[in-house]
Amino acid sequence: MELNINGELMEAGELKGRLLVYVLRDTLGLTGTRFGCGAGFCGSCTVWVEGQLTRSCLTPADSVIGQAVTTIEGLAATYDPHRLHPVQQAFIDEQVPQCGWCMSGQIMTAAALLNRTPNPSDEDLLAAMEGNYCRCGTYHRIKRAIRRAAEGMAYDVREAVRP
Amino acid sequence: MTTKLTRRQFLALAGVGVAGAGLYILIRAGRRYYIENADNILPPVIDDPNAWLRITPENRVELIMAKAEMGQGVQTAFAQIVADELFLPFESVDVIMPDTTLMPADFGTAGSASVSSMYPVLRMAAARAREILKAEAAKRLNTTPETIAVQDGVIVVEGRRTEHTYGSLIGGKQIVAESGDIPVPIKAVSDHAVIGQPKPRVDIPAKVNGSARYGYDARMEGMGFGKVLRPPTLGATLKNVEVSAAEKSPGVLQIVRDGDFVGVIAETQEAANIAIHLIAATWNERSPLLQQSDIDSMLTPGGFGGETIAEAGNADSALRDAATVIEADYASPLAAHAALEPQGSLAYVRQENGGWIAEVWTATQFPTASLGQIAGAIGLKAEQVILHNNFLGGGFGRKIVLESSSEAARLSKASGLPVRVNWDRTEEFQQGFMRPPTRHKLRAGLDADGNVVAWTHEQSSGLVLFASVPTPLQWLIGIDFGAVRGAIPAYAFPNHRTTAWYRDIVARTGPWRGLGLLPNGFAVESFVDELAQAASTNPLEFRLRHLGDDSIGKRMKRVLQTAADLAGWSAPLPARDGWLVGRGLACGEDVRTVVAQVAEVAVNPQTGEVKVGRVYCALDCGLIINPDGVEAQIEGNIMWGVSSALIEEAAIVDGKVRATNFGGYPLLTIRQAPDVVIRLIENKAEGPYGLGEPPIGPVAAAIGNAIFNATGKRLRRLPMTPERVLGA
Repeated sequence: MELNINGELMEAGELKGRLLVYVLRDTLGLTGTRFGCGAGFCGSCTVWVEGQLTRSCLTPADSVIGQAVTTIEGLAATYDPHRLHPVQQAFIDEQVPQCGWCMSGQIMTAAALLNRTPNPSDEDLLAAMEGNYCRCGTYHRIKRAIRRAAEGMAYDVREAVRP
Repeated sequence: MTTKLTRRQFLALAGVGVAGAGLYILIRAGRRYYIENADNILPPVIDDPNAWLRITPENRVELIMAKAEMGQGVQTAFAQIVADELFLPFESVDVIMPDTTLMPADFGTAGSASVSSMYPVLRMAAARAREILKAEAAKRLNTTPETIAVQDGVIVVEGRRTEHTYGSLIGGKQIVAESGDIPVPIKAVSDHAVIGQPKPRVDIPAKVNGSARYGYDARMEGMGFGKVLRPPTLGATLKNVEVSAAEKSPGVLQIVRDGDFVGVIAETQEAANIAIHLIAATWNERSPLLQQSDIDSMLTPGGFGGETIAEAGNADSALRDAATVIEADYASPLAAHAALEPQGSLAYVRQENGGWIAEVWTATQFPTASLGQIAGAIGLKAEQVILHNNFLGGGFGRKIVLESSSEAARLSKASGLPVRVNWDRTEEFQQGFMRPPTRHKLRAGLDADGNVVAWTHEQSSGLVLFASVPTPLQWLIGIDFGAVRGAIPAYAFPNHRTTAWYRDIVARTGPWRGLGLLPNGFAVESFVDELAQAASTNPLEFRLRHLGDDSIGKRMKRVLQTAADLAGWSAPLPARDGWLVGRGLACGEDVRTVVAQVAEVAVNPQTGEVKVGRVYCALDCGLIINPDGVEAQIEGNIMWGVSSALIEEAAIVDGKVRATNFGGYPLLTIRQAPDVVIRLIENKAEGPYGLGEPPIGPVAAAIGNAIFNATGKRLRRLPMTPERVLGA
């Protein structure tokens, strides 16, 4: 069966009985989507399905046939094909990751937040991000990075920078 | 130039694949250094090379080094050290994670020792390279090495840039030298240009675009997915097993049975996960099953086997003579590492050129130690194992020993396939090892002026470093030095004694970030606060008064005062409607790093909920390689400490760990995370000292002391949950 991943149709083989997280990681080699708990608690495996935040560890792979799946590998292109997504750039600028295992999930979640709420309140931010664990404890840098990304995206809108 | 290498070093050189041109500096780091610094918990290892420096004809530097990158920024710090000594820009250095053929010996990545142990070693190696090339430049330019300087890798003679660079001087040649064979001048600390700068971490770009590869990510064409049958309770042994249903399950390639070891190999992870559930097994279980109350009763300190680990004066008689005697018992629970990347390993065991080899892709804190373990599991010798180490998605002590590497190797050898065994979260909670629980009985005597005249700390703990030491050796050694880390107070008490008992609590325990630092720091620094209260003295003043005038004591006073000033210690906290507010102070020393923290908390008197709003931290780790990296480590340690102080507790119920996933063992979330305000003390005269763990020591005590300040309730058991706050 084919899946639409990051704007590309990819042959993913038999999908019956398979979970999206393992199809992405093991079959398609998109290991940027990380497995953390397999039960929806930690947020490490978060991807977008039709732009909606989705825990890929709880998602039957055949349920997303025909739907647009976006992973960390394809996030930048949803914004501007010529550079990193502003959230990714802000995570570099604020030097957020330590071990980095949770970061794909953090970044996908934060980018969805800013798509939905370009100028989030403190409560918006906490409510959006509290389902994503970071064991290394980079939480306050995540907060700073999301604020920075929001400013960057507001600038892009103001100056019409994006293609 | 000539250099004498032993046969063994030549072999290692061949291993590093010295085919290309370049200047190679062989580094044998450990032995000298580890003897000089008895503080390091890791034993001196073999004399094999454990790092290589190569300068390429393209004027780049490759540092091949056996330290695992688990988010602590070790690659970046090492690149800074090497670049500085070579007068090169930071960006010129590539740090390469080696496999075990390139790097036969490492010390493991543990004990907050990477930067402190490798700093002198890397500078020496880089200086050796620089001096070789300066001599070569002098020869070519018909001058003396003293007239030559280097700027950004370009040779400069009396202020004039020449056409020569390190790279051009090397040209197509292959030059090999050993670091430490002759004395070389080392750059003065005052001349550092790259060290001390907040350089961006080299591993971060790959971690934000998803391309970073971890142990769990290993893949290979045609690999099988492995899953191992687990005992239902601790210590259970296999009685009977029926695999026919699992064999018929779709996608199953093979069932492997080897004594108590039973595993499934399947075409997908899903098929393996389902098939393992279809194996019907009966077990011989412990009777009665282990319960948490059994562990609790094992832990009471006292009785046979106590070892005194520190003593001065006569604590017993001083206690008898004291004007006031204070006593308190403290406790901390089993706690999980919960690295978000579970452990995982891919192994391909095969015959090549008539002999067996096992090739393993994983992410471990201790590749060298893994070789023997993997070899032992499949009847090979350590020399027949190759291990490729990738990024660790968190280590925290858990990934010093990875069971999945041996399990994957066994399944691979039995099937002939490459097989990956990735643990799931339930295996991590139920089959892994944890931070051991501890108990602490503290007694102190005060004189009429409120000075401490006697102090005793009786501590018991499950096994930490002893978890990997055979029982007879435990008897010989007597003390589990991991468990007692942080147990000895930093204060100059005239009469004191610290005694430790180690207990095998049946549940698996072992090293956890900081080892005993957090449990001991909680007990010691909370009790110091109790003494300050008994002496009716400000906790800051009380600590300052009892610290000595030795180097640690002086540095500790400075971080205490700095943290207190940063937090506005003497100013009242703003009130908060419906909440009780308070602040608490704690400090500690570990691997010569000194740290003090002030926590601000709000306690809900109705619900018992504790919010940690902010933690102020002052720290002196000597020379700082990367200030932003130092801050990141402090921040991470504080979050770990808050999580441990307020939330984390694992319990044994009916013979096993109760939690199966994060639902039963939640971690700190972004909503619960405090602000962190950090002040780093400038102290270039010593160090660099360790950083990955020392800041975790005071966190729980600072919070407990703040809760006392807010509510008048003293909490003596971790975690400080709402129920315990209300019940105190």
